[in-house]
Amino acid sequence: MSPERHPSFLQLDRLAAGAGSSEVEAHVGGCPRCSGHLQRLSEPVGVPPWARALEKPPRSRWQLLALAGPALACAAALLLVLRSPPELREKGAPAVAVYVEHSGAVSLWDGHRAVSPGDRIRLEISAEGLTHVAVASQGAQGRWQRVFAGESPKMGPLPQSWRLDEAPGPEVLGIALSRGELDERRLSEVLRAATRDAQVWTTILTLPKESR
Amino acid sequence: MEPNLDAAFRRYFPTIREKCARMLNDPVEAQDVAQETFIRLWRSSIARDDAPRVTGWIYATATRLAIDLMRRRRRQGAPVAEPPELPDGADLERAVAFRQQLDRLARRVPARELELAILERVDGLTQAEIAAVSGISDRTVRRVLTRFDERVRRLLESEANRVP
Repeated sequence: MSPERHPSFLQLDRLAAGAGSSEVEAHVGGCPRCSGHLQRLSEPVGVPPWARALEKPPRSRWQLLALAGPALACAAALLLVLRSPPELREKGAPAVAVYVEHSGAVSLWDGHRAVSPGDRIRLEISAEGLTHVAVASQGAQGRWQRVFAGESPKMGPLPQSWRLDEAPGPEVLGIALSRGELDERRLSEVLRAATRDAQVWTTILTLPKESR
Repeated sequence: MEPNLDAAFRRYFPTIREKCARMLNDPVEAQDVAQETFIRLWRSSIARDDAPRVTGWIYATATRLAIDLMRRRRRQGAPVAEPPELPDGADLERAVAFRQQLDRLARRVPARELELAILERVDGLTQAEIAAVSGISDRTVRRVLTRFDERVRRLLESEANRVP
């Protein structure tokens, strides 16, 4: 590696994590810019409370709630009167909108607002040609549990909603749109990898939850 | 082997923090994205993997989260902070110029193109490294970056033509 050509930050970060090449190491020895980056990485850091909280026991599970009959019709009617969800990605890319029913009122989740135990959650998908949708909730040790799988709706919300239980901690929901059905193992893989390519598009939603 | 939170945080959070600071002008936003990236890392089983795989995952995930944030910010009309200093380097001028464009580009070019452009122009990854991190071929990386440059050129021409 020439002194004029710096290694990428990725190579430097791998070196800091103990997985760098001898070539990068040799470059860093004579380069103030790259050694300065490594110096910043090596400064001691304490584990803050928000990270410490990750050690707590597994969070709640989403309670599946199959809506049927009048309840479904009622929820669908509430959703239809809402304005279209805001565009989450560029035109032509998939998008997900989250509707929250709280004390009988339905609103579009803004990406930040906390939800409450007892609220009902519903997803509306803009699949942009991806034919299948799968939804998973995250549980112990980051494991994904599939809670819905089916063909992408041409229009409107998914035919299923979820009611939040009272367990503490945010609700983490993974959504995968794909050109074919994903089994549970594959669904976990694409969510772990945050895959977005021509075959699969994923997104992970973290909904803060107020305690009752 | 179960990963240890303290060890994982001390090993990877500084990398995440620096990566986010390079992409985002606002230190509060950079901290938010860094935090979200670490939470996802910890909750996924990726944290158990070897360092090259984890760092690659961090680069891909933090970049996508930052792009999502830039797009939300543009939609909400939030003010854009002044860019902080970048470290010295041969590509400094190019990196600064590109990052100053990022806020304007965030809502006007496809996220995928922006993602690869950030990896190349802010983080200095080679096209082979981008391909490995993004799980696509070198050829696709070249094609997407060429398309990105062409799109930006057209956007800049269009803006210049609108100036009276």
